[in-house]
Amino acid sequence: MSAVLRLVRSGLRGGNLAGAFATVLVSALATAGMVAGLSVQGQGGAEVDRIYREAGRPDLVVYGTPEVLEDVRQDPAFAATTPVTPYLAGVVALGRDTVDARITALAGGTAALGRPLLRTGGWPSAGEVVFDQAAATAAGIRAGDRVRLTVGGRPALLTVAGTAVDLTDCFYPDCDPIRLFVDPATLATLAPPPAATPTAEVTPTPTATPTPGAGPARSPEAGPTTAARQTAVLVARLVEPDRADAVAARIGTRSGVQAVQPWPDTRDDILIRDRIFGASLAGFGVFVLLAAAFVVAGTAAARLLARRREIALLQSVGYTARQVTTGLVAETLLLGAAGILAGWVAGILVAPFLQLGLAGALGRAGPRIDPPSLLGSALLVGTVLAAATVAPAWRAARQPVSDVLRDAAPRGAEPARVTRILDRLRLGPTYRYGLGAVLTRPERSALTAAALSVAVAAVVVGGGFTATVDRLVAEPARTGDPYDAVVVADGTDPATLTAALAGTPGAAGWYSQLDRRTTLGDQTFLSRAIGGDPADARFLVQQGRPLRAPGEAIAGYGLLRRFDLQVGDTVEVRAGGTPLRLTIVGWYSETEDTGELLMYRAEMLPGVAPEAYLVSAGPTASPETLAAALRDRLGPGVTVHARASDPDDLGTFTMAMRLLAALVLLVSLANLAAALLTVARERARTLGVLRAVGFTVRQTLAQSATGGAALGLAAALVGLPAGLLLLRLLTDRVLVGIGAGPGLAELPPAALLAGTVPAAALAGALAGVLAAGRLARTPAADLVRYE
Amino acid sequence: MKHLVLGLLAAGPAHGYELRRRYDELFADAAGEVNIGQVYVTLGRLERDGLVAHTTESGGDRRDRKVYRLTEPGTAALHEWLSAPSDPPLVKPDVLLRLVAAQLAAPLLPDVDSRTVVTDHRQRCLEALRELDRQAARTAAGSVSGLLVQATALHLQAELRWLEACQQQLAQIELKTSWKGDGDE
Amino acid sequence: MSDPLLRARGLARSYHGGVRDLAALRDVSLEVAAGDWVAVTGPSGCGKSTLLHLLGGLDRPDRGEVWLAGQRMDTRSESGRALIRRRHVGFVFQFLNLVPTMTVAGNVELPLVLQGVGRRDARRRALEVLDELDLVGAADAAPAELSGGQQQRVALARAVVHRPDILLADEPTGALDSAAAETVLDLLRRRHQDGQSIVLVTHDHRVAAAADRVVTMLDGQIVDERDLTGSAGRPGFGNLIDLEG
Repeated sequence: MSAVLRLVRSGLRGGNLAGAFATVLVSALATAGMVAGLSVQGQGGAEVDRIYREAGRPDLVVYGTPEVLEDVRQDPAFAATTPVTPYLAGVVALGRDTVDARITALAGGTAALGRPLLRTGGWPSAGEVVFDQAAATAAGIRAGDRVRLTVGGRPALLTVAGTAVDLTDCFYPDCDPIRLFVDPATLATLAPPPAATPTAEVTPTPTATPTPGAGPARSPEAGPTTAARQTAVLVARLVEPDRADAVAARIGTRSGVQAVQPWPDTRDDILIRDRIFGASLAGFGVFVLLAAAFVVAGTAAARLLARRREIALLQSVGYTARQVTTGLVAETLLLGAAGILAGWVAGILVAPFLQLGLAGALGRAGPRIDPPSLLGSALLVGTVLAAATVAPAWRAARQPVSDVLRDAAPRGAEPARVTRILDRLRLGPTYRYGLGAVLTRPERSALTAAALSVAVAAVVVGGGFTATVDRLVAEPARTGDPYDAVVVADGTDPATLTAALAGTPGAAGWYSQLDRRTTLGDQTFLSRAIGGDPADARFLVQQGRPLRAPGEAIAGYGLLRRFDLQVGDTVEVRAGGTPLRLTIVGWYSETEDTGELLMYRAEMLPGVAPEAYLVSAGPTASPETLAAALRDRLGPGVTVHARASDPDDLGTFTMAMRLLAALVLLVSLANLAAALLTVARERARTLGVLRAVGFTVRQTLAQSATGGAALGLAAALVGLPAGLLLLRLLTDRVLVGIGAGPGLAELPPAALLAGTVPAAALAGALAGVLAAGRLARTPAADLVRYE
Repeated sequence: MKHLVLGLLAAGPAHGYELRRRYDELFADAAGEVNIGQVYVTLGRLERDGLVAHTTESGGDRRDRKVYRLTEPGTAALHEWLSAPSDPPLVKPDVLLRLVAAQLAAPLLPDVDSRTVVTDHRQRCLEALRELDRQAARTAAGSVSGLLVQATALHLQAELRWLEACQQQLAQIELKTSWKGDGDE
Repeated sequence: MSDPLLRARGLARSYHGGVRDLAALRDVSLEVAAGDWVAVTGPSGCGKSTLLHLLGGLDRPDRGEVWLAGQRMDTRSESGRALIRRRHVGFVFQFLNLVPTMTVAGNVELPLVLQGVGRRDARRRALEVLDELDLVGAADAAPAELSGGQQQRVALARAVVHRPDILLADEPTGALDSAAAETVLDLLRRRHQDGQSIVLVTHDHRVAAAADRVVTMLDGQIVDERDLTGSAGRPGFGNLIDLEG
């Protein structure tokens, strides 16, 4: 063993620094990518579970009339509940836009259940409000700021006393209403007198403002608007938390219960974005790992070639091939270990900054040290490194010692056949030599090109992924939101409203919606009754046909998967209390509720007014101008939102994707340059001879550029189709994961695709020029002396 | 020459001209032809010492010839010579002596340069090598002459290399002698 | 013609290395007339290879001038010198002369192709030279498939295929056994008889003796220069071998 260690030590001390550095770097990058990805993916869940426990395990949230809730409270499935808490629905100004808010009074007592988790500031006194943490972070609202609130058309100014996290629903901006907490006296002053303002009888307006492409929004079902005098909420801890969904299904259909929100759904909604992003990040970590494998194998081959004489000498002293191999692999592993450790630390430090969905609501988590992830990534990266080194090491150790010692050319290093074939190509001497230099080291060149092709594939995947996400944002129909502005019905007479909508400038069409918690068997999901002209509800139906007539339904892909349904199936469901028999005529792309959504025609719920009208803009109008036009037309009593998109978060996401792709590309290009440098160094003497024969400096550079361009070209030709294939698989997986269903994958921009091949060749050529730069400047006399 | 003639006779009895022919076949390419007179002088000496003996043979139409053969003591003498150690390759110090003399005589003979002693000798050696190469072209591989030419060429190369060393050290060669040191004081 | 083919005047070149600069050449002047064969000899490290590199424009002197075929070399750029080499110079080194990724024929025709000679023409001329060196059968072989002596002969073929004004050879027989060395030397003799000007650097006196003129270098300077042509037929060389001894 000590003999092997001695070999390792001498290798590390004497070996080529660039190669060692490359090994450390790629190990670090691969580890960092995976650790960060896994950390983002896993850390969020732990964090959410922690606050779930902190909040007293709120398994179920029930909305309804106070009387019914008092009754529901006695349900034997509940281990504990909050008191029935009345709330007000309002609108609060948030930056330039407004957002729906649910205002509750904080009950006294010390019970943790249902109590918001105060993050900054203190509990509110009169005229103060504890603001929703995620919304506060997004809008930059701090304790001491004043916020403008509108309840039932009556404005009010409150001072922010603090911010808190509330777990009754997922976080802003994925879900609204946002939650505000005041003291009971303030709530009473906010509540409009029943006689004066009929709009105070409004049910909560938990209209979803779904955010395309990012997260699903969930909104509790609204009950019949006219029936409820007052609305309240109840938070319960269950005896059997695992049965939350079944309990929700049972309670949700009780008359007077407007909505039920089980914790598992909320948890999924909170985490979905981190999960997708984490998975993509970890996936990219695998990309880097793949590239790393090629880089390490190539570097190992080059380093071993440079040290073949040393290895032969060791063997002549008595080292066995096995000892030499072990030593060489151990050497790589030692270098890799340094990289893994560095990458692990970097990954852990970086992960908190990549927590997209959670950071706003929960605050940026500190770095979480996770020894198993170190072990896991060390194992994976180490295995890859060992696998990449063992073959070249074994080959190096098996070379006939006498051959090496008398300086015979490495076996198979100058395949005569390749040389002869190349000679027949009738290329100019510069190109001929440059091509020969890379082709006659086929293995190393293949590894170099492979590493680069992984990068090309990563760029293609990154570009395609970004394009897909961009398209999801640009075309809201792809996320199940084929509209530009939302008009909240607020009890306004439907006929008046629809008449007004039709004449709004910039409005191209509208449809209405009404959400109901719906059960199929003992499971619940959200169903949506769609009103208005079916042609105006332009959902993106991927299979089957659009929803047109009563009795038909279209489902999100997530729902089909959850219940194992197919287009053409007929289902019997209960929407609220109404039994419905629906034939699924198609599935459409929907990201809300991870695509677990069923849509049917509003005609099937006769006499029930819609909650909201969704208006699409004509070709010239933007969501904002349309919303402004609608506000003008409908007056201040009606709430109108422009369709909110979420470019910041997506920006971070696509940015991270691009960054990772760029990183892989950078590593591969550096590797290419290093490989070409090795080629140039190995052939320094030959270059000297060529210069003696009459190669100019430019030709010296051009030959290296030719080799680099050839490798770049090969990499692009392999990486492009591989990238497209991977893109298809990866995006489909992600899109299915968020419920949108397959088939939405976008190709990267045509310019990117068309540019890939020439760009790779050019980058290769540049790397070649860079690699040969120093040798080209070296006087020819030094080169011919070079040994 | 004496032992060589014994050797040539060991191959079988022969008269003088036959001996010369045997000699020339082996050596003439490298060492030039041997003088017939020298052969007879040597044979005379050997016969005087009892190492060879001759019988007279009738030469047909030409005059009678003396055919020489080895005697018992002759064979013994040949054997003794072959068993004795061969000469070590002695270096003739001629150039070195000239070099020393040139150094010593520098004040007396200012036109003599010790450097020139070396370079002149080198030229001679190089010319000799060149000549040997020409000779080598005439010798067949594996012939005695070829071996002789090779030996000479290698000795010349060694001499040239030694001259190189001489020249490199020329500046350092100080003739450390007591009288010179005294005289300088 | 009074102008020599190759003229070097006052060449000096030193290398930065270690504690102090190492003077490889100090004030070296040399003239080579067309048809000359000059051997440069001396112990290793005397600067003879540096001189050859300067003569061929592989390197630039710190001081001094190099004129080749009427053109001044030392003031030109690296590439400018390369262009002169293409046309006027053939180089042979001690070993690893050949481009390993090109076939024998590919190597030999390289100078012609670089000069812009048509491919077919270049191949024909390359084969002619290879034929002359008895290597035509190896035209399609890769250099690694040849013995050291064969490789050196190919290198020689490449150095003369474009009929350069001057052939510069740096220890062309240094890595060969005596038989192979003899073959290469013979080829040089034949080329020289055909009028090829040669500057040959060697530490082998036997090889040096083949030249018309021997220049001896020591410590970066020429210490001796001798003409050997006068020795032919001079008396006194028949008795180099003396059996009387």
